[in-house]
Amino acid sequence: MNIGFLYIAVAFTLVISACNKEHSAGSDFVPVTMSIVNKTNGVHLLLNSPGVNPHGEPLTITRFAYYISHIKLINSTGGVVALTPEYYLVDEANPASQQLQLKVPEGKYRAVEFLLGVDSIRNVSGIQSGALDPANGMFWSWNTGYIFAKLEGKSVVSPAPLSNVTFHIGGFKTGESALQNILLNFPVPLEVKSNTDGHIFLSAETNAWFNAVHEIKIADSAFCMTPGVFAQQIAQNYARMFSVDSVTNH
Amino acid sequence: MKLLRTIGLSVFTITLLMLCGCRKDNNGDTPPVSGPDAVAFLIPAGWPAPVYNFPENPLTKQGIALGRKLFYDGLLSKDGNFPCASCHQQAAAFATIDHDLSHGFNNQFTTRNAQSLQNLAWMKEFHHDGGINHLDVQPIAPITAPNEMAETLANVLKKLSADAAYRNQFKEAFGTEEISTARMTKALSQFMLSMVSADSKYDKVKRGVATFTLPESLGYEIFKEKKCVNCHAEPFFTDFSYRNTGLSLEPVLRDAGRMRITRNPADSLKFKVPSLRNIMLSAPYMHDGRITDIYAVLEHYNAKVINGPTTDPLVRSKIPLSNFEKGQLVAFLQTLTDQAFITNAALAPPL
Repeated sequence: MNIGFLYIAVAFTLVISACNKEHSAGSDFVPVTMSIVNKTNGVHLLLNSPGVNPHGEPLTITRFAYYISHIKLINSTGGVVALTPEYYLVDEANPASQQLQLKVPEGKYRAVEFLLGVDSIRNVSGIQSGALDPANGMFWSWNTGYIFAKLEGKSVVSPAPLSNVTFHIGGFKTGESALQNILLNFPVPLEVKSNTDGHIFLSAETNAWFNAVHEIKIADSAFCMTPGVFAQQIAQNYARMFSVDSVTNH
Repeated sequence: MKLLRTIGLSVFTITLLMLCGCRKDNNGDTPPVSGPDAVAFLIPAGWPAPVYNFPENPLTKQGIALGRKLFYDGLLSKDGNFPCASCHQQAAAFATIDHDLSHGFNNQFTTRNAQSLQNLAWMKEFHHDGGINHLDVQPIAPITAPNEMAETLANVLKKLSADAAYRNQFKEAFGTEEISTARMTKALSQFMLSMVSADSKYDKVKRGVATFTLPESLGYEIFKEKKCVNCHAEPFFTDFSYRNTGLSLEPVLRDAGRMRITRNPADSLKFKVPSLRNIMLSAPYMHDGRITDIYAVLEHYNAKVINGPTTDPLVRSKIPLSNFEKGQLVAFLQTLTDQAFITNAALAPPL
């Protein structure tokens, strides 16, 4: 192993990338807002407000948050347009976080695709900032990795202490990945042109966590705080929580 | 090879300096600010390249100083009583002196024996179970653990941001007064990376500037002959693997070790092989500190190994050691004590 050359290579690569930080923010990029309304049973989710899950189990959701990244748009000919890499933490407690401000090249698009979760690279590259700052409470300190999605609440049927319902879903390693790729077709094409305000309106339904693919009952399992099979099942469920309400451009 | 390494190291240092220069560019309308002073990370002769990604967090004099202040500051804990240094004490090679388990917030015990902190730049994984995959995210675990420092990151950042001296030190280290999780943990990493222990008598013998006494050299031979070295591999005296050394399951803690991270039953009761550097300073021993005396550790391998499904093949048949051999081994282990490390003023609490 030639350490000398390794250093030279690593070091110079860094110098080059450090000095070349300017990204060309092309003038062809048009702002498009992607809004997400979190819902329970089709109604706007109200934190700390009593409700029931699809199994009729009482559930008061107290925290609901998830990461979205690697947003891509599919154009009318099927071409995939990857947007500027950005990580978004959509948090029901923070209304601003439910309006994702995208920059999209002009074009006609028929679908949006994104990753629900945090890709493995960001789970193994040390401390991160912005949406990925561990101070946001979406990070496992004892078993390094991001919590991709979090649903916390209270339920009288929960067997856990304090009637807690705690679904912290994550896992990026081979064999335990809870990463979900989401593809959503638009009901009508989204035409992105300069001087227009494009808007993608999505809903995210909390009911999906409990029954979209796997039946998850609070009375049976009220908590998930590690990667693994159960986390993957819940992730497969919540992968189905999104729907497109409409797309507009004015 | 040595020459190449020297060249590599110098290029590395020069590049660090270039990086700092590059970061500081301004448009001429603001006067140039004097940036932090780059510090070279020296690799002891014969050691491999570190695994820590220095270009992402270049060592600087100001960054290390900030990390040192943070390391010794109780402000990082909920009630102010538990700085990092409360469990990681320099005299014990940054383990906790004379404690099986350490104490944290509100009279609570930790669940494992505090590990010594040394040569962290060569470690890929942290904690006895290896659950943490990067030095820069390691401090989050003790800071937020309810039985350790019991604080939230948001609150720590708030307290630091309210302190003018800290704001100034963050500016000196990172260019602006912004205080973030990333800057805080990177500064802590810089200080912890400077905890290099490579100046024990063993190291001096390897460098040809000291010689072992007869018991020490006999101990070194036994160390190799009895295959201690297979797990406690030189120069770190650990191969960084996870192994079950045949200890019983502690009935209260019920600590499954590595399996807690991998959930693989094959990893049940496996813990990271600890470095033996400064081992005579970091008693008590084993992942939960259950053995208070080094001779009792050797006796464990001689006679007390419990064979379960995951007990390591290297200890399944025990490691027969006579009292004479134990004495020589301990003489050798004593050569791994690094007085310069535990008395290094640069690693002591800031004045």
